[in-house]
Amino acid sequence: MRHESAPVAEHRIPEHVPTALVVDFDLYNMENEAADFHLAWKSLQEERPDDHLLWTPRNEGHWIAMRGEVIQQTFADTKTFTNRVFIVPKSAGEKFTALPTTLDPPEHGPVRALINPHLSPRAIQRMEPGIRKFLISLIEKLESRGGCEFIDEFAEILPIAIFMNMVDLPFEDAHKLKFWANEINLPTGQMTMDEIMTAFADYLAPWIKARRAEPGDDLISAIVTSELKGAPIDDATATSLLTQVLLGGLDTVAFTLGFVMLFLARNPDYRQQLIDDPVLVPGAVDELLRRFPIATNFRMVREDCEFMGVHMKGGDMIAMPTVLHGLDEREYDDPLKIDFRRRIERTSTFGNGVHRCPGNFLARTEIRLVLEEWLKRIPEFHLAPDAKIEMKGGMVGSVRELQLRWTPRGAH
Amino acid sequence: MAKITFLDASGDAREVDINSGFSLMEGAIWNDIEGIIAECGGACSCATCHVLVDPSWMERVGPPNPAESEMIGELEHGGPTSRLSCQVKVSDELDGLVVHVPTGQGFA
Repeated sequence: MRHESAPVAEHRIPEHVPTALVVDFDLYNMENEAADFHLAWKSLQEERPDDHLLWTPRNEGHWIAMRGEVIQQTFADTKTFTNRVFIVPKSAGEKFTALPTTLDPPEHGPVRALINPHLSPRAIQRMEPGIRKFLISLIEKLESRGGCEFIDEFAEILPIAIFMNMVDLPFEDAHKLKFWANEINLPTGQMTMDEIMTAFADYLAPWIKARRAEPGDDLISAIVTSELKGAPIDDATATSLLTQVLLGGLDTVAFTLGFVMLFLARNPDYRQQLIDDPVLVPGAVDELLRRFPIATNFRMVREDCEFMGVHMKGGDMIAMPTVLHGLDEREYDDPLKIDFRRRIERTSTFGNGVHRCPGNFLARTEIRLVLEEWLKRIPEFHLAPDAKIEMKGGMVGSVRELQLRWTPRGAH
Repeated sequence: MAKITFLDASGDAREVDINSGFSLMEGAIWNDIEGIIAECGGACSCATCHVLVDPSWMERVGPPNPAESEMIGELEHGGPTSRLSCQVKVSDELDGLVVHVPTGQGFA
């Protein structure tokens, strides 16, 4: 997606924003993001420990919720904030409609209810044996090679294959769908928002038609044959809903796995804990998700208001960097430290409130199964000696490349 | 591993084994315990995995955490031993636990 990063001086600071709250921060191009995406965000929180909210003029200007408490409240407060625009720059976000994400209560609930049953713990439980089998075959193929580029050869394959299987679309199409999704989350400037929306709609149109005519037991069939307010769902609504499903399911698990495996490659003692005591694995998944959130969500202020002591104007955008909840020392003691036994009550990694990620149970299941099965087969692994770790910011953070090495079992 | 007994409203009991480390909610779903929905997937945000812990076990299970307490206060079938099962971690110490599944889930 095209967006300009003009020098900060060219952006006007709105009159209602106190100068003391202005910071020059571009989430698509953070200082030191390449070395450590999470610490790039954390350093902003450390520089401004007393501020609940800051304003950056970058990306057409937006507020930043700076603490776990503020992020939590912003997610929860659908009266003050609307989901109509949830992407910056706002001029691009305004053009983006994806159901149920761009709806507010009370319209949101009935549309969200169309996808919930397909991603519920019960639904995922039915998928678990198939997921496990698939990922074992993937790991076994890699194991004998003694190394892999984890992002392309594992992380980008596993969740996408599972996802394409759920929607019953050809795996070969995943590449272009991901490209469009990335143009929203990590824009390279090759497509405008209108072009992205059209690309998704054109791609989905024949599939919607085909599944209406001959429904299968996949998620697309379930959505196109569902009813909304007592009437069959129309094409526009189905397209919008499926665009969001594709957008949410394509790369978030892949990116999270990248951070998780980078951590485990660098920290053999933590790997050993999970090998010695597999009971720790489910808790470890939640702790790793607390420590390595990837998403920054946005809301738009409905009308002029006071929020946490700051005057906001209707139409202002506000960022909720979920990293700043998981790494907030006011929420978690020693937040940079990973502790698989830590009690985690609430994070914002999957968002919160009515829009909380409906795929969270699937995501956590996938990560858990990877830990269980990878560590059984490749307990010892490390970064390649010449590995260059480069991270990328944006609305979704990622590790670009992860060269892992190990000794194949056959080599002993 | 812990043996957990789920009692439904009519008093029928289902005894299941749940691996330590998982939540009580996950164990209930995997064993197809009726009446546990867990719509939010274990995020302490939907209150549809509510159970009433048998009073004799409440001390070992422990009280709800603050976020969970807020939700429990609004429950339709809440009681003094209410817990959201996604927030209860199964451990060997909970072997023998008895919980009651309410007749309905969600808020009043």
